[in-house]
Amino acid sequence: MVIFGTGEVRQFIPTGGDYTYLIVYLITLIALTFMWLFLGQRYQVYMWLRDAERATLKLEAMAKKGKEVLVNAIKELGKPDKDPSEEVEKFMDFFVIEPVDRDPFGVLKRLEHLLDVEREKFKDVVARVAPKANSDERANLEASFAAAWAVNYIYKFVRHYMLLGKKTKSMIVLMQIAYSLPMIMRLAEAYFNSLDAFTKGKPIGDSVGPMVAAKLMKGYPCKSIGDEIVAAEVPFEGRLLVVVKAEGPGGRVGKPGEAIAKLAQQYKDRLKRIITVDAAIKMEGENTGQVAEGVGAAIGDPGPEKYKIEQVALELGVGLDAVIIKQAYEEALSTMRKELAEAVDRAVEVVKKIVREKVVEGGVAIIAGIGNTIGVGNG
Amino acid sequence: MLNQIPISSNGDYTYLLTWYLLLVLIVLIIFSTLLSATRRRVLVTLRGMRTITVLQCEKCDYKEEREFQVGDYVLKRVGECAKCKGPLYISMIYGVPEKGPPRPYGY
Repeated sequence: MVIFGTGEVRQFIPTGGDYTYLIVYLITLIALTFMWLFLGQRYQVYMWLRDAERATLKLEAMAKKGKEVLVNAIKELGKPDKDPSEEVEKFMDFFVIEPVDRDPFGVLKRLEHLLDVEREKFKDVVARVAPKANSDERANLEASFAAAWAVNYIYKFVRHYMLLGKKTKSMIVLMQIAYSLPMIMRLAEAYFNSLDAFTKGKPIGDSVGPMVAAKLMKGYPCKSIGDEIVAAEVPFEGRLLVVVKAEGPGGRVGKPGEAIAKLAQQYKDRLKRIITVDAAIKMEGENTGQVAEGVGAAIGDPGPEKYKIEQVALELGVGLDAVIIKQAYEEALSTMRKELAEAVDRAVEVVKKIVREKVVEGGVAIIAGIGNTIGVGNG
Repeated sequence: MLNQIPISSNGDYTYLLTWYLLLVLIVLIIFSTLLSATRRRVLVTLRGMRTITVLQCEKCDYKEEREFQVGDYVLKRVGECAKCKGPLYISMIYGVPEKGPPRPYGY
């Protein structure tokens, strides 16, 4: 047997009758081929499992640190008589069961009811562990509880699939979790980084909506209209703006849909437009702080609040405009970036432009700043 | 033993391939073992963020920046303007990512 090398013909089988090396060579080749065939998949599974284990360890550290940050904040703000660690640990197993949707009739009402009860639960636990915190501090602690819970839940979720994959040696389970990890870790880090802002009362990226409303209502008296929402009447170039936002500066979102529906009925004779301003998740490649204008209700709730806005707009035949300020998911949950703080003024100008174009003099427009109002006052 | 290593005594490099393949196998095994040995050393890093509070006068163009203090919030009145004695309020609070490597903690 001959093989062709670089310009010369070499003997593949060595001359001289010594076949030892050939045998070793063939054994190695066969061993490698078998390893490739049978161990390749196992090696891939091992790599996925390793990735999932590393992520689980990282998430475990994040969950522990998150709880630690929360407990320290409770001790500092709430001055509790006993250590809140046990209560915090217990709350980490809290869950909400979604309403049945096989019969969709009235599902939004049932969902709203469950969300109200959930909010009540958060309030109860904060009141119990931080009795001496004021109303705004309690709201911040509620948001901190939610963030710490989210990190802990993500940790438990990844650990579950990692252990399930390990136990069953299922490639599909491990592959799914391994390939989802980049997105899951981004989400976990976003919630984890939000703890600093929530415990200290700093505005976050999601606060851009309430900040636009606060800038519009600045200098005008505002009053609470229930459901943790404040409103102010702001005269603007012969029109009346009814500006709505969650009650700040605590970490509240309120029920803006309910408030808008109430106000729309109140001003229905002169109401010409409902404008919602909110943070929106940007697509990759888009710039943080980009302000965009569109149609619809800009609100990221699970459904009930958005439904109320759309319903009242339809009933009264009023146009719905949406202004969004684009940002990445992690930016929406962490301390507000400079680009976003600067985008607020541009968004205010866009709102004013829409009012000039769509609302005749003497008309009324409802402007709602949607989002968490942490670190943003009421104007 | 040494003279058996087939770095071609007779110019035939075929045997070298055998040793090369064995070497690759050994390196792969060592590499995998090292990887699994280091997997426990997981570092969670915390991205440091400086938070700036911007104070602005309502009457003149005076602007001042300082570090965020707990209790600060946007539109909070924080005293008088150093220039015109007008009311000073917080116009902006924003975070700036800290320079340098992220701070590790945990494992």
